[in-house]
Amino acid sequence: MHDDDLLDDTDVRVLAATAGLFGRLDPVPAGLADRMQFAINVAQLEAEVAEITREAMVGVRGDTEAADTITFTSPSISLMVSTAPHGRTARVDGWVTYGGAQIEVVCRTWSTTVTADASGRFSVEDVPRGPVHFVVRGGPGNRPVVTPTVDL
Amino acid sequence: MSTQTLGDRAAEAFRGYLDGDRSRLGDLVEILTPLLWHTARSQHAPTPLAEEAIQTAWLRLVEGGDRIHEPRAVVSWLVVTVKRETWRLLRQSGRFTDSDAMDVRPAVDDPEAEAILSDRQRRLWRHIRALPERCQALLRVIAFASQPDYAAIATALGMPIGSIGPTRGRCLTKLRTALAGDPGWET
Repeated sequence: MHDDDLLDDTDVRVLAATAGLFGRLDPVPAGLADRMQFAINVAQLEAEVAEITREAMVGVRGDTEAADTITFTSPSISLMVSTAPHGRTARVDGWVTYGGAQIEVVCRTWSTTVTADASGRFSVEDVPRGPVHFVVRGGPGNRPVVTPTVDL
Repeated sequence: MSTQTLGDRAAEAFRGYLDGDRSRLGDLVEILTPLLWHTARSQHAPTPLAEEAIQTAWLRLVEGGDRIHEPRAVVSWLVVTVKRETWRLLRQSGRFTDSDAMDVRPAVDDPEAEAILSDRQRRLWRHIRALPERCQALLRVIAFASQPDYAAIATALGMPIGSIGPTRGRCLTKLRTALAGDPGWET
């Protein structure tokens, strides 16, 4: 490669200033990456989508408030989760409208799966705080159910 | 140089994904969202249309990403796909209302958008706006990419840099020349 094939410091500075300019004039909409991630999750799992139908003290990702109690509803199930933060982790207690369903708790670099008891209750300790979504399997529908991402 | 470029980080995340770690796709989304946003917006996509085009590109990647054998190629593949999808949606954009169409930012003479710029940014913006529109679009997009991907992105946007001549290409050269002739720049 010839030297004149490479960008020099001035090019790099001009491009960095250009990125700063457009980042200011037309910023990426809040939550865009999360919405893309959600669409990907749904497609990868060929999943049914649950929506947030009730929330108390809850911030969908991007807000600063932490989730306290939140209900997700899809055509086949409802899922209610309550969270109790302890430092950097949180305990999640939940209830799903289908006893014996498996609930996968998915964080950025951590996930675990628990099975709800016959009445649909489950709990998970030491969930890292931050963005999390849930995938419910073994419910009445054939497809898994995926929730939007919320902040723990 | 040990600093990883955006292209390196994207290739690494995509390689991890191809090797079976599905969560690495989330990293790729985080890394490339600004680039893809500015790709769609540089083609005058209103916000909802830009989001739809970007989402379609990701879903195509999920369906057929295993056909991309060179992880480095994922960046330009996504840029091309977002651009094509933006154009396709714009062509059938009868379903967008006038108020969506009004939302095309950056509105070149929107005083509110300019009010938040620093003096230096305002000066740069004036020089960029004086360039041909295709140059404006190209510079806007490559500003959010990394150097090894410039040539592929330029080709994707219909502005091939060509095999002869410096990587910076015609548009960046023009902008540099304009800035060099502006005594108020770099001071």
